[in-house]
Amino acid sequence: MTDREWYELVKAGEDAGWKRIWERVVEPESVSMRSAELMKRYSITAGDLMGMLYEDMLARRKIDLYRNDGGSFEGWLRMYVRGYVLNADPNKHGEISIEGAYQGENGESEAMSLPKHDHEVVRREVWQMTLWCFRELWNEDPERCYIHLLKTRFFLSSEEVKDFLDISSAANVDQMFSRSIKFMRNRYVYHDTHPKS
Amino acid sequence: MKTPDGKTITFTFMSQPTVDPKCCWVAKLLFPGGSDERSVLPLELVQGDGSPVPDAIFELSGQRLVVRDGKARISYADFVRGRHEKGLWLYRKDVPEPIPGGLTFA
Repeated sequence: MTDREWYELVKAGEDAGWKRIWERVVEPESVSMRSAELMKRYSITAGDLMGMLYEDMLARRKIDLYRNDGGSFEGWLRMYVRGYVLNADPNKHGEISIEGAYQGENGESEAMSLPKHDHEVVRREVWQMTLWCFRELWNEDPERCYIHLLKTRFFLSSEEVKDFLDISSAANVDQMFSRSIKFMRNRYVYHDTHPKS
Repeated sequence: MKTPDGKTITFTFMSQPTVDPKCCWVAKLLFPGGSDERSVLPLELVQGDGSPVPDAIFELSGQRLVVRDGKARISYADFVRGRHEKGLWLYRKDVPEPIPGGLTFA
């Protein structure tokens, strides 16, 4: 299903479109490290998020704000859902604002940017997760960590890495580097969606 | 087996967090530019307070290296030969359990 088809289904209120939102946006976000704890603290369930999104998209016609200009529809929806969680301040007596979620145009971007402290939390989380995944890569095979570091930290070419670690060929270096990237990406996604593991 | 000319590469290894900061360690392995299989690489080890690790044994690339006053050495050939070895430990007389570590982005 393309983003355009998905968008049309959601706009028409079709079950297939909303089921996909549940599976790909709301449910994964509700168990992510970023949101799970805040949701618990503010007593929000994934069902609440789904309800808020439904109301905003269809009742308030926020769906019309989506411009299919190359950005991912899933990413756009996820920004809304994150906004609900981030702005679920109990001091607002349960009122939920999505002001922080939507990046508008015409000079609205500053007023609508996410709260500053959240950027910091996200940055720290990402860094810690990266180190964690790097540690797991070490446990797979330390050679992959050395290759990863030589390529990404010291910007060595594959030929230089081949000479450095006495690997049979530069193509082999590329293959191992590609596998290490894939491994870290998979572990990152796994930890992001299984915060307690 | 050769490091790029004119480029110094440093691998930084760091211990896992410990309750006693003094038991933490950081090891820096230096690869001077133009090193080859006959080269010997210097290692510097400091503990949590930044002072050199006193007498200890450092395990890297399957080699047990003697640490004296925060300094040790490993041959480049041995390092490359043991590049698949996961064991990375610092054994100290004054610390009952050896502390493991790993490579970092630092």
